[in-house]
This record gives sequence, structure tokens and C-alpha cells, in this order.
Amino acid sequence: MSDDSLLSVRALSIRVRSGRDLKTVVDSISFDMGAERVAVVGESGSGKSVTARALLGLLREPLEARAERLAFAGRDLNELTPAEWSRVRGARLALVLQDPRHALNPVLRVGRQLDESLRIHQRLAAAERRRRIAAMLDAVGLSAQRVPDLYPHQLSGGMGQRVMLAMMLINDPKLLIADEPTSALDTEASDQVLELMSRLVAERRMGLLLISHDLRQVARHCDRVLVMHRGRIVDQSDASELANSRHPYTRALWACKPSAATYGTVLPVVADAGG
Amino acid sequence: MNVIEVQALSVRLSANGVTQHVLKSLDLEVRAGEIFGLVGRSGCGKSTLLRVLAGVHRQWEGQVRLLDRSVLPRRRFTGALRRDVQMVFQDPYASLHPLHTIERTLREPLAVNGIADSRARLSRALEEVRLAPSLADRYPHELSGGQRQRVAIARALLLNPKLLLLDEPTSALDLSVQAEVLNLLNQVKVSHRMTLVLVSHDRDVIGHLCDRAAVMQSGGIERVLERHEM
Repeated sequence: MSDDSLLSVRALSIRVRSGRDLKTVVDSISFDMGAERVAVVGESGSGKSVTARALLGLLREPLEARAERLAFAGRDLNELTPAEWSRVRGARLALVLQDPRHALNPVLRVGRQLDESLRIHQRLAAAERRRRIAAMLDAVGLSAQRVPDLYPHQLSGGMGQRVMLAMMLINDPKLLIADEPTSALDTEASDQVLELMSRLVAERRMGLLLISHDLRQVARHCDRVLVMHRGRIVDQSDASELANSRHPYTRALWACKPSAATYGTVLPVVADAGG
Repeated sequence: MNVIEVQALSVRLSANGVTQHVLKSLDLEVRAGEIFGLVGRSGCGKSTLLRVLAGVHRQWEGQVRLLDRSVLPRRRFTGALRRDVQMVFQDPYASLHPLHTIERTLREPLAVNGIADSRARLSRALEEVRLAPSLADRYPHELSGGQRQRVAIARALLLNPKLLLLDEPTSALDLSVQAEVLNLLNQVKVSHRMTLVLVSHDRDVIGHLCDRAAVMQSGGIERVLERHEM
């Protein structure tokens, strides 16, 4: 198995049906990734989030996906039955969403929810499950004594996202897909969570597909970046080379972020942003 | 000259029998012609402070002077203050009436204040925020988020305010669209000789736009940052 074969996407198109019309939201994109950290960056309507959902088999009417090839660790995802999807999702392919407050069950303690995700995918003795939960919480920087007894509303946004990360990594998946995992957090917490995610993924030799709108931020935490615009991958580059990209859209996305250093200047804008 | 002078401002909010002290004896001065930022985590009271300054939240104690006029608690703004202080809200989807065309949305503040309006005046207002005058016949759902936020800014500018209050005006927008709106705000500050107060949780936005900023924490101002401290 070559290093590029963790995820292989060929000519993935996603369309949305409204009445008799079919509108293309993702237009025949292709990419491969191995055990590396890849960011998919784009703005609203670029198709980045629906791409993530298509990879997890989570698209529902009126969205529909077609691909020449959609392979994960050598298996053709196009051919999975719903039952097979349930075994792959969560165990080998995991998803972290934007807001932990919506993704966690509000009436179950954190420990119980972690235990549940272990029991669904593996057969382990209770003592072994407790040991793994403690080790996992420790790995994401949370107290294994205190946090299992907390309810989701007692967690801050950053803690909530660490719990989500623990829940997703506890079954040792091969690929973690994170859709704007930190956009509900403030800048400081957001960098901490991305740093943690990036480090854990590297340590466990997994793949990470990070969906984001913030080019500069993901550049610090990923190896490679795909830039999406209006349903296409318009640019790709190593994260370290992003600042030198020649593509006009990438350049504008890179430069349009305000900061104290841009005070008193006119920010560059994307010519066809349509805003 | 100070456009805003606030002394010992306190706000208590009660819900389900629990009273929260949202603003605790807060002092604030904002000078004429500056863009002043209010920054802090959610729950620090920055939006409540802005709503007091806009006359939207009227249950408060303390002293508030806006544009050299005293404002009283539990009273609506009267006279010139109703025109001179305008506000732009965070969510451009929620702040425009979904069943009113853009033209009707823009005519309303003029009609309410007894100012003669004309299609030419509305066209100029749209052009100022870089929107095509033909958009006047559209409904909000036919516009993008950035276009809607520019309509909200155009609506506020129509009354030639002296003080423009902005609550997270770009946090619902994409970065590239945010850049356009930030450029627009810098531009109208100069062309209208206004004072702007901007609430944001994003230190980068504050750093880009503001001449000074107050860092807020649990209902008070922790410190005021001068330009070189940002």
C-alpha cells in the first residue's frame, strides 16, 4: 500500500436537486492523501463541507454525490451497505464537527458518552474501557478524575472540543475529518485545539482532513493545503509554500485577513467574491 | 471632545428569579472621530454596553452623555439623538425585514424621521456602500450575506449619524467579504466624519480597525489599549 492510498478521491461531483433543476456544488474534484495532515480551505459555498460529508457517506436528499472512485484504505466507499458504513464510520473514519455543544448529548455525562463510543465499536472489559478513557482524556489534556463526571454544559468550548476529539480518537481511527472544528472558539482556544489535534494525529500516524475557512491558521497546523472555490480545487500546495502561491484567489485569501499590522491600510479583496 | 461619556454604568438582568450584574459601575470615554473597539469574551457585557449606548437597552443606572446630551434611563431617545446615533447588528439575516424590499427598508428610517426621500437619494446611499442601485427592488433573501450587511450599513448612514455603533458587524461573513466591509467602514468614517464604536470578539478585526480599544471582563473595563499597545 503506497503512502497516498489512505484516501483516494477521483472525479467527485456533488449536486443538489431543487425541483427539476440539478445544481452542481462540487465539480469533479480529485485528490489523494496518506497518513498526513491535509487542509481543505474555502469560503461559504465553496463545497468544502459537503465534500467532507460525502466522504463519510452522510449526504442526504436533496444532495447527491457521484464519484469515479472513492476509496478509503483500499476499500471502495461507493459499494458500502448502510450496515458496513456504520462499522467504518466512528471506528476507522471519524468526524469532528464545528460546535461541541450540538455534537455531545446534553443529558449524559462525558464518561458515559466516551464509554458508549468504545462499546459500539469494540468488545472490551469494563476495567479496560475505564483505563482507555482515562488515557485518552489525559492525551487531550483533560483531567481523567474530574471530567468523566461532568455534563456537556459544564464544559467550556475548548474543553468540549477536546472531549469530542477524545471520543473520535478513542477507537484508533485511520482518518479524522474535522469540519471547522474550532470556529466556535476564540482565537487562543482555537490554536490550542488545532495544535493538539495536529500533534495527536501525527503521533498516531493517522490522516487528518481539516476543513476550514482560515488559510493562515491551517497553514500552521497542516502539511498540505487544497484551496476550494465554487466547487473546484483551484490551487494546492505545501502549507509552507502557501505565502508564495501564484494563484490569485489563494493570494487574496492569504492577504485579506485583518490584523493590527494592517491598521490604516486597505485590505485586498477577492475580485469575484460576490459579496 | 468626547462623544461618549459614561460614569458608573450598571446593568442588572433578571431571568427566572436570578439577577445577574451584567455591567458593574463602568466608566468609558470615547473621543470624537475615533474608531473605538470593545473586545472581550462572550458574556463580558460588551454587547449590553453597546445596546445601552444605542438606547435599545434602557434599564440601567449611572450617568450617560452622548454627543453632549444627557441620556436618561428608561426613556427612549428623542429629537436629534434618534438620527445621530445609529446601530448595525451582527446578523444581516435577522436585521432586515424579510418581506420588505431593500427600497422599503431604506425608506423607513427617512419616513420615521420626517425626512423627504427620493429614489435618487436611495440610489446614492446604495452606491456609497458599493451596491448597484438596481438592488433596491430585491428582497433580502435574494442578496448574499455581505450585500445584506452593506444594506444595513447604508440604512444607518442615510440619517447622517454622528455616532455609529456596530455589534460584531463582520463575524457572520467570510474573510474576503469581511475585508470588503472593513474597508467600507474605514472609508465612511472619513467621508461622514463619524465616531464608530465596534464590538468584536476578534482581536484581529479590532487591531485592524480601531484607534483605541477597551478590553472588557466580567462587566467591567479591564484596561484601555492605545494604538501602540494593540
